[in-house]
Amino acid sequence: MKKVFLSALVAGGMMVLLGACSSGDTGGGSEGMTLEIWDMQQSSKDVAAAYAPIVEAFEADNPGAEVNVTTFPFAQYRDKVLLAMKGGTGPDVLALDQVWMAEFAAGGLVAPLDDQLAESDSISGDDFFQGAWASNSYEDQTWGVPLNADVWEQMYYNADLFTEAGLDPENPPTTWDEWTEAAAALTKAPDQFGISLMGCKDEGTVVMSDSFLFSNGGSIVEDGSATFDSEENIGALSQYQDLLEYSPSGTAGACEQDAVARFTSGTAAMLLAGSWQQDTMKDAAQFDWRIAVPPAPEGKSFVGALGGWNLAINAKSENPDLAFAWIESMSQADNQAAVNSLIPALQAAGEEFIMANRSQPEVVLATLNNGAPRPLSPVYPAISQAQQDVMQAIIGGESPENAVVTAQGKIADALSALD
Amino acid sequence: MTQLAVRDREARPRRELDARQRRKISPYKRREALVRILCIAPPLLFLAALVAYPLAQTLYLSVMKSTLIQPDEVFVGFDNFANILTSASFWNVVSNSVVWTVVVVALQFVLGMSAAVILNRRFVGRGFLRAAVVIPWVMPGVIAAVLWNLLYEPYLGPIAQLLGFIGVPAENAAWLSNTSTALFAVIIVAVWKGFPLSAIMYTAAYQNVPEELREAARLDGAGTWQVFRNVVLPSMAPTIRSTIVLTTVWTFNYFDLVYVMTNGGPGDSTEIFPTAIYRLAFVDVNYGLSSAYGVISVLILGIFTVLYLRQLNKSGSLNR
Repeated sequence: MKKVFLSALVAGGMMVLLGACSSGDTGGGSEGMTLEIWDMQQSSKDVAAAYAPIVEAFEADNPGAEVNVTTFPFAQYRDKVLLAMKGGTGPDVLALDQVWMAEFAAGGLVAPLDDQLAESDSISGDDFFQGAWASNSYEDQTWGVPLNADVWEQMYYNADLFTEAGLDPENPPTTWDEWTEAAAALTKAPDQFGISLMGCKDEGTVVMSDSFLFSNGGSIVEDGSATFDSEENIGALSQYQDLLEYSPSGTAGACEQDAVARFTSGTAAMLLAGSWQQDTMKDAAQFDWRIAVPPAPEGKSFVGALGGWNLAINAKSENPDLAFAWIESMSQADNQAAVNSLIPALQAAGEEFIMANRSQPEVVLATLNNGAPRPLSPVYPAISQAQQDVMQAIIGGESPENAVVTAQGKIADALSALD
Repeated sequence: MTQLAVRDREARPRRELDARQRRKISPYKRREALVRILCIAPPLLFLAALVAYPLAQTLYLSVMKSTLIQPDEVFVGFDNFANILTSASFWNVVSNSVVWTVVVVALQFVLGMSAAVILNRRFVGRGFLRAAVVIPWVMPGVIAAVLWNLLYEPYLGPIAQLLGFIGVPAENAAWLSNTSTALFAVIIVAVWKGFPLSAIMYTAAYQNVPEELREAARLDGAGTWQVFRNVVLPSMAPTIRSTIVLTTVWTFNYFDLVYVMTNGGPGDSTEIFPTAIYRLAFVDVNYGLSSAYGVISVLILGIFTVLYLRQLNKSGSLNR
């Protein structure tokens, strides 16, 4: 008898445990509302500490509300978000990459904010960097509010190596032809290379390659149709292929941090990277590093690709009004400046941030103001995949003429899934 | 493995006991049966929740059209499977996976067996070596991948410098960034990472071979190789068989190394089943297609395992 009782007790205990696991996401009444916030961990900055005073103030303004901010490293952020949203246990407010907005909106995972935005006194689209604000539109509705923004990219260069090679560090190359010549002059293989290019299979490579395409007047998707097979794109990819000759071997596997490491170690004299890498340079580069607006084709100007993160509300959130109040609070200049190590998306706060935190801020501002968005499409992951394949192919020696045809087919295929 | 053997030996008496019990069932026995059921209920529930449910869900999704942007699930029959089987990338994944699995398992067998034979000899430092050999196995996969990425670095990496030092004209080759070498570069790491398990299993099995058997063979005039081939190896057969099945399943499903070291690249030269499935599920977010891919992957592994075990049993070549 004793045994029966014992096992019943064990079974009962199990039930309690299982029950406890599933009760985590239930909210309760208007008193004691909880708000789950997910953000991406951008860098070594202690984001959790930066959020603490904001959470405190928000809880004071909204008595009875409890706010939990959780941050995840970028590498696992998308996986976490997708699993949680699919399982119906996602947070109330979440940071989404600009290129995920259309995808999440089309999937019905996040809620349109138009009604709340119309009534809001504190959020106005005009206050944000235009590209960042526009990245929230999908099918004539607005699905998020920008948190931060930046542009791929500036050209970092090693002034010491420029001088050594007989180049003028005050006048870095501005056209693509000058660029290739400078890269050649700076190359003393296998000890030194002209430029450290990235080319691994990830989104960073895509954004970087976009800046080549955009600067040459090329595009990827226009009005819902694939436009990858163009003379402009072929020219842009040829330029990348020309530079490849002066990049250390292993470009097909070089991601952002690898490319940066080759520059900071002095192995390569030039680098394409975003302004957030200035933090790394300050720590790691033991030479006179500078930045410049990257070169553009003769007679054209450099156009970078925009990136950044927006705040969106889970379509299943039980407290959408409180969630929107949080977004309003995060859209104040002080708060945006506090939690970001990327540039705050509010234009005034962003420019102040750049002036205070970046060396050669005028270069950063010039590239930011002349940036263009990546395709805002629900099938962006497939488009990005096609572009990654292009880069891998041309690094492997395929001709840009063939590569753009293949990519055109893949992108058109992906877009056809939307019909 | 010794555990398995012990369980076999115990199985028979227990079965006889059960038969005796069945003859008359007292109320006390019935109560005891109830207690037993209650005791195994929680683990059964857990198994149902953790194994049966995901399995059923995967099978269900594999015949559905279900993506992030089209969340309403639509029944499409075997369309997902047809899509996969007719795509060129699938057959590339199959061939990569076969090369990857076969080479890794074969090399792990050879290395593991050699380590077992060596570590059973008496020599100074044997204890240390036995412990050291386990290090790759206990190292987290991601850390091993990052470590080897550094070793393979074409300019500063020790491998490039060693090759340069001994005069091999490698010309700063980036092994991981070349479509013809990347898969083998990762295979080397997978062998290094996984062979300690084989080594431990084979060391234990080797020690279980009765010394008298070896001695008898030697008295009959068998040489070292003959003793190993005809006495030691057959005695180790059950261990070898299970170890090869285990390492095959693990290698086929091994995700970390490829994901961190090459992410399936360059091109798709290192794409194997787990990375392809991950890409479909978390990058493209196509639940239907990725589930179908998963089902195919399990089928391939299942068919292999069954055929392999049947073949071994039939040929009897490694039977006791």
